[in-house]
Amino acid sequence: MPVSPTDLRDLAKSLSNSESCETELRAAMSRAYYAIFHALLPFVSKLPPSSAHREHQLHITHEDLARRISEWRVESISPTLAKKRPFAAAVVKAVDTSRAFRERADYRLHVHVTLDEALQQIDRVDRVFRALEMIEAEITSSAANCAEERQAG
Amino acid sequence: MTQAAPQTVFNDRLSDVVDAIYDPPGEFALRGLRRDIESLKRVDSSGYYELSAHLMLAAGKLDDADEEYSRAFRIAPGQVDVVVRYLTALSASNQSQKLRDRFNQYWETIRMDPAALRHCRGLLGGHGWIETQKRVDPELAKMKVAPACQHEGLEGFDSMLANQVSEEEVAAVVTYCREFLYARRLAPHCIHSHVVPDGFGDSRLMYTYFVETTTEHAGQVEWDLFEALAEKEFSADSKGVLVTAVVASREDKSARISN
Repeated sequence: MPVSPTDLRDLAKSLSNSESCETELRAAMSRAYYAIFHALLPFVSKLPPSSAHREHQLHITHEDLARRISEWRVESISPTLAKKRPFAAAVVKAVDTSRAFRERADYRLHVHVTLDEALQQIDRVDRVFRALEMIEAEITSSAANCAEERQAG
Repeated sequence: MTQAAPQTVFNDRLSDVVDAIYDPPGEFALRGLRRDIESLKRVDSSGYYELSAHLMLAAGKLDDADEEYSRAFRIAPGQVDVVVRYLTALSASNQSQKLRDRFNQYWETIRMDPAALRHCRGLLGGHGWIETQKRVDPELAKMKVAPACQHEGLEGFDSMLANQVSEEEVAAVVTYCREFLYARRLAPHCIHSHVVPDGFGDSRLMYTYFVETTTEHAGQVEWDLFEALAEKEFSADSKGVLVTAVVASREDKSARISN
């Protein structure tokens, strides 16, 4: 992959320091959201389409991504993951909040954005990355358990 | 030895007792603050009762605080500065419903003063009273004064409010968020609200709580708040029209008692 979600996060970080102008901070907040979006995309692609999914829709939209996590229909991927609905709800809210900052940065030019907000947005990315690692570890563990059960059976 | 003028004593003690509301010290420190204000009782009884009310709030004695404020108002009726400080104290002590009620009660005193109007607009917005806060706008417009800047993004809220969510629903979430942060000794020193486009043609209301801590700590608290909000299932939150954020930032403490 020419560019990874981590690259987007790192770019956001490099754009966010005490010397940054507001244009750079806005770019950082926007890239940070896309780091979250692209990091979640492979996992979300494994989930069934959400209620926001339209017929003949070819790609997962921003709304569909958040809704798929919110609806959390993960039973077929990992039964243990299904019990982690509060965790999923926090992930959805982190996605929502980072998207709202992205929209403010990109569309509300008359409202200032600050370095503090950009740094917090980057921290939000790191938290979603860590949450995703936990989700993937859970999926791997579930798959291993299933394989063991099949062998034993 | 010359003694400080009553007004000087009052002003010196005011910032200490306001700090005590935001971040309550122990009982010993509160007793010390009370001793410090005793000298005011004879020379500036209104100021004394006002500071005493603040200390009652810091101690969590809300009814006693009201009683002390009533005494201050009886001695100095109709003083807009006292009203504004009372409303600020109600905000700082997170008494959301009472803040709106008292704002309406003292409206005739507040409406004559542009600084008071601006300040109250910010206080109400910081508690989710986004409809009530608009009451000040025609008065400010008459005086050709701009509203407080942190809530300027709310201009697009009218249609959304009418169609999707009431101010009571918004205030319920904001009150919960404030209590959540207070319980972690992270009283927000500033709260911004903005209307942001949601990318699908609608708008969402975004509340950002600025707290004085590290970015990492604020991030963890925000994550915990997200889980707690999901569990509570507030209607404004479930409808997806309200977005919450916690941001670490340095506080300008002088803004606490700007009136």
